[in-house]
Amino acid sequence: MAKQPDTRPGRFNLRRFLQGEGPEPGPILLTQNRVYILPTRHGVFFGLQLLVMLVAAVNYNNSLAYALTFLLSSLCLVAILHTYRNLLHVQVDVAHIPPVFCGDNLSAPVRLDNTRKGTRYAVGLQFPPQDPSRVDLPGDQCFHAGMSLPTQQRGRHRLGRLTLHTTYPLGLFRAWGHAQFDRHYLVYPRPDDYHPLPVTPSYHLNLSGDRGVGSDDFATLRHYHPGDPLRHVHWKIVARGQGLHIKQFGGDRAEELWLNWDDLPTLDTEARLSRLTRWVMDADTAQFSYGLKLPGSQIPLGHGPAHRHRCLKALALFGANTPDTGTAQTVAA
Amino acid sequence: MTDIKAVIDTLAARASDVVLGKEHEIRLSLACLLARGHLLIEDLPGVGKTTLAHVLAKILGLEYHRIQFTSDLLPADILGVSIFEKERGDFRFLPGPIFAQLILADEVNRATPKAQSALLEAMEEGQVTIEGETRPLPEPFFVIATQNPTHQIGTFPLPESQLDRFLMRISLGYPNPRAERKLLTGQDRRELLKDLQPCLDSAQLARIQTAVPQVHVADALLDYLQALLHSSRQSSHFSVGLSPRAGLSLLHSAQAWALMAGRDHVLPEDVQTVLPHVVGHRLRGSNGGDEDTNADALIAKLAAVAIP
Amino acid sequence: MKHPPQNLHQRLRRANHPRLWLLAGLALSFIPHLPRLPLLIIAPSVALLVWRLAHELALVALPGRFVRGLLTVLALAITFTAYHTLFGREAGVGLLVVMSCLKLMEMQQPRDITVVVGLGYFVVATVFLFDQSILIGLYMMLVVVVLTTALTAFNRGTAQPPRWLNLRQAGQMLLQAAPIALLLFLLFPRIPGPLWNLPDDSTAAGTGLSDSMSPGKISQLSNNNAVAFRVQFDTKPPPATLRYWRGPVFTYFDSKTWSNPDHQRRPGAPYQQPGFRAAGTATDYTVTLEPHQQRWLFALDLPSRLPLRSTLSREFELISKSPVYQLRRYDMQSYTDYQLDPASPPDQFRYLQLPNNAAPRARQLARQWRNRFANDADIMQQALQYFRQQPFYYTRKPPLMPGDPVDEFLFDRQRGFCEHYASAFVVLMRAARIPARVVTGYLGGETNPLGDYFIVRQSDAHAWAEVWLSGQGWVRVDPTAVIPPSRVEDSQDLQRIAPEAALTLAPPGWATRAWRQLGFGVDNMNHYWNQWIINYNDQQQMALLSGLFSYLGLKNIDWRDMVGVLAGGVTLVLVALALPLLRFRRRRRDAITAIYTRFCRKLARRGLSRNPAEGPQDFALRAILALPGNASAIVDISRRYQQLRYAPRPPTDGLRHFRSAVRRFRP
Repeated sequence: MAKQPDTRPGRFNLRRFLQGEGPEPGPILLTQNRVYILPTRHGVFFGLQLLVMLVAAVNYNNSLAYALTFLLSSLCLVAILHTYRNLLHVQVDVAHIPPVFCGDNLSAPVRLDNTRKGTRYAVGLQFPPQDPSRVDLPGDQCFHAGMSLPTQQRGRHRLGRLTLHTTYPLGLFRAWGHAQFDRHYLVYPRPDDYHPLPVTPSYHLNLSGDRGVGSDDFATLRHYHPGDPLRHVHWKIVARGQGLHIKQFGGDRAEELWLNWDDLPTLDTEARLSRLTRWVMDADTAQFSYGLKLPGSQIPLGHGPAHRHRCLKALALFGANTPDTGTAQTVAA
Repeated sequence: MTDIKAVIDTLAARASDVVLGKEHEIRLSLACLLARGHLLIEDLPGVGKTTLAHVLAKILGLEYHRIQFTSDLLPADILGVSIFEKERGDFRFLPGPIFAQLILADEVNRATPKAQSALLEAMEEGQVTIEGETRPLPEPFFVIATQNPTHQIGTFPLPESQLDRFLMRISLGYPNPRAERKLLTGQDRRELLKDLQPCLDSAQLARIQTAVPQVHVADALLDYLQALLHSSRQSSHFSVGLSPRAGLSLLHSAQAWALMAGRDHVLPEDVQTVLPHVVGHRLRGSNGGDEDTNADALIAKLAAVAIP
Repeated sequence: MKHPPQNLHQRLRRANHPRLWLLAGLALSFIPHLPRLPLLIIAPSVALLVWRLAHELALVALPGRFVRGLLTVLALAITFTAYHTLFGREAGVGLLVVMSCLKLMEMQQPRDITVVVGLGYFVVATVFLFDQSILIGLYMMLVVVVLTTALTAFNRGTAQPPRWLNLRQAGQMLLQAAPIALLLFLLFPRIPGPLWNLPDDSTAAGTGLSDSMSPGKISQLSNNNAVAFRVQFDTKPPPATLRYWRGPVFTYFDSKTWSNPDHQRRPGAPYQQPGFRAAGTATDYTVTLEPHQQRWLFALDLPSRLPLRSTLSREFELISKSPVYQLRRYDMQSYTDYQLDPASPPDQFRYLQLPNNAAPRARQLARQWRNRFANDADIMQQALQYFRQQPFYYTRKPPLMPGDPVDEFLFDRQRGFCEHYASAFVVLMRAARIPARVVTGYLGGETNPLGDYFIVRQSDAHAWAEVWLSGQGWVRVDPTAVIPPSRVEDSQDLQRIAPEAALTLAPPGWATRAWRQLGFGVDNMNHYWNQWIINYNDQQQMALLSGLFSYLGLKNIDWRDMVGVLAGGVTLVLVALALPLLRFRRRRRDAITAIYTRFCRKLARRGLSRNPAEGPQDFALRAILALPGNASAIVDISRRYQQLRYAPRPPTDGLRHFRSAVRRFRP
């Protein structure tokens, strides 16, 4: 017989019981075969207490003691239903996780849809080694919880398993469900402390006016000096009889700032990445046009948020053979 | 309703005589105008963006200005300046080209962000503030901005926040072979433009514009609209979901489209028709960058949302 | 003070709700125990409760670890001082109460709250060991609700829950649990009898007939209106004059007190049963006996059947194998027309015993009668005649008779109640060499017209005599009955002793009647409570199940069937609860959509299935292209659907037309 593990939905499976489903795209609806329930420590203790009460009832042949024992036992049975129900049919999803710098906490935007009219109380959310947080899900609404997770390693990581659990209403039983999303997040290298950019940008006029790539715009007017291009004369002012003025553009400066891996031979890999990250940030803030040269790859000159992300992503993934890595696994050499 | 439909049909037919084979784009532009939104045309040079804008201005009988955006364009070049008059001893305001009913902002992404924002603020506010003085813009006020594909060299792509101010983004594309043949053999477009007569006066236009918000939107349609917004916000395919403003834009565009079809209520089909043009420039895929390549895929994802 | 001064109301609002509920629940659970608990236990428990409450209101701090340890030792010492033991029912309750209050002192962690709630439930259970009345049952139910609310509130955890929400949740869960609990109560196999010998709790004083009788002392029972037992007759009840309920019989007299040496023997010692000849028809009935901590069971004179777990003594007393600590219900049969042991003359030594120094004047009188009459029966009549003719009074408040109680009663005071008469009569008989004995028990009983059963109260306690006459055997003689009604002080006694005479008295007023009617109603409720709740046992369980099974045509059931029925029933209730609770609510679709879906399904059968994202107009267009023959119908239906669903003012009865159009549609 084949030793294939039984992965049919609805069938009990130990691996699934312990670890949950494999990575899946969201949203995940916690259906019957995804929610498990077992007594808590209190539940077991309470069960023992009920047993003692039953023995007492038998021994004293006491009808009301019987009745009490039976009522509390039934309460336990009903509590199973209610605890289970408190988690059943919650729909959970994780939206896009914005990249963060290594060492910062990332915020995973978890979205919980309480598909039911009534409020669900005290639902615990946890990315296992982190501490759980407890939330109430208002009825017929979506609840957005930003789950904070520490980052330790640059690179592309798969989001860990999200565990939802609850012991409401009696705390005697704990229902839980796992949600493993096929969702990755990017951790940029940690930016180094301040180091000046490798090149001091030089100012020079750019003759091809409308082809200017500088990110700054018109800066000032100054008096015409012989030799200035006529294209930059502000003719409207001339027309008003106020003399010749030249439009000066601050943006036309240092258009080619290359951030080069090879410029930092003295540092080790991570320190180099860290330094380059700092430079990318600074070049972006200063609104330079910059490019990135890494061994084996090169990002052409550019600017703007998308370009910045591209550079930082290249730095984050540097040295990674495959774009995918497991949960919180090391990427770099 | 039916007379509005007739008017619109006439308009579209007239425009199509000049801008060949682009009836759908013309209708979308008209819808955008009726919904009091601004239009962004993104395409290569020479496919007839300018002609389209000009034709619209002509047939609607609107006052028309064209501003060519260049990298040295200053805000004052758009808005106007106050100059000192020696004879009178005080300043006189010289209105810029923005003071017109229909503005064609050509190659808007060639200008610096500062110049761009001058235009976009005017679009948003319906008025301009120059040297502390607020001046209202004419009514109706309609901006058609054209943009080169962003990957062309020497451009300043409009930031997302600015893009949101355009109700629709369309692209014209190359004409189909039949239209192209007619274009090659036919009369000069510029000659045709000169002969074009307005079909509408501004009072009629205003009347149609006020009819747009009165087009009925049923609860069922709002459900659908919300499902779309919800899907964009929830799905992992999008890094940023559609804003509430995007939702309103979608609604108004669909209302205008329904009105142009001579209906007093909006159908899901209206929403679907305008959807790619309203949300295309507002969505951003979750894998960052390169929005052009996956914009169509993203829209397809939204278009697959079930109608409740 | 860290906080600005607040009034109590503000403090209450800021306090932790789960813990307030818990304190309330615990305090409420203690209340029924209060009369039983010594002050030594009550005082520290209340102090600890108040301490904790004050802490919750942010008034005081909790004790540290060292003080807590000290308090624990102190609590153990106090309990031991109060009870001289830490075990047994009474001491156990004391310990439980003190310890659960102590636990409050360290209740900080979530786990502690659950533990204290558990202790609270336990206290509720211990209350039932002492009292199982309806009121206590209802009250304890309330306590359970409060304790469960505390648990719910604690597990919710949010700071400011909507008011009463926790109570509602707890109440709802208990209500849902109730049917399952009922099934368990009815069908969970009951194991008869104690699992092990109970610790001797007989020190607790019970009410009822004692195992000795001292006529000189004031009777405590005559004013006690508590119910002794209730009787339901299956056959016709005997007339009032024959309703003698036989209890302990006394044979030994020490000049002050009557007793029976057999009562000191181990129970169940075999004796040769006296001969017993019955006449007439048997009377069948069921006795529900209130616990009285003694071993007597009561039966109508003369019992002809033995209840379970009991024996019959040689004086025809029914003796239970263990003291009646719990309500006990037994079926009985008696013959009121009987002859007891007429053949063999009884044990002379046993039934003629008299202490030498007792009652010299009575002996004198008996000797005179013996000389005068040859026949025992005549002497007996003479004695009764003496009671009738001399000025004997029946009173509940007899004077103290410190000397010889029999002589003083017979010759000086001549006032007393049944015990005096029975005692004196037996002494007279024995002095006249006639075997005699004192029988105690109850006489009469009140019919509850609402429930069709008899109530026998402690105030019905009675004592009479039995005399052995040759040829007739033991004959019941009630000397009290010969007192003329005019010499009975209390009308209540008159009714009992001389029912016919009582009829001549003025009828009671309406208030009295209403009050008695109310009393009957309450007693009726108690009776059914006792019968179906308190005394529900393995036999009743079996009877219930056999009834159920015979209804289904099944026979020969045993406990396995019961467990089967129980499991089936519980599963059924759980499923019935789970179905609505665990149902996934899909978004409801309205009628218009439903009809349109039907239309789409019809087209789907022709291979045209609508894409969920496809609008009605687009779909119609596609359908027309595929099925040009149906074009007009498709356009009509789609147009109607659009009108109904999206247009501002859908046409009146548009839905009806739409529905019929879809019904007619045959693609």
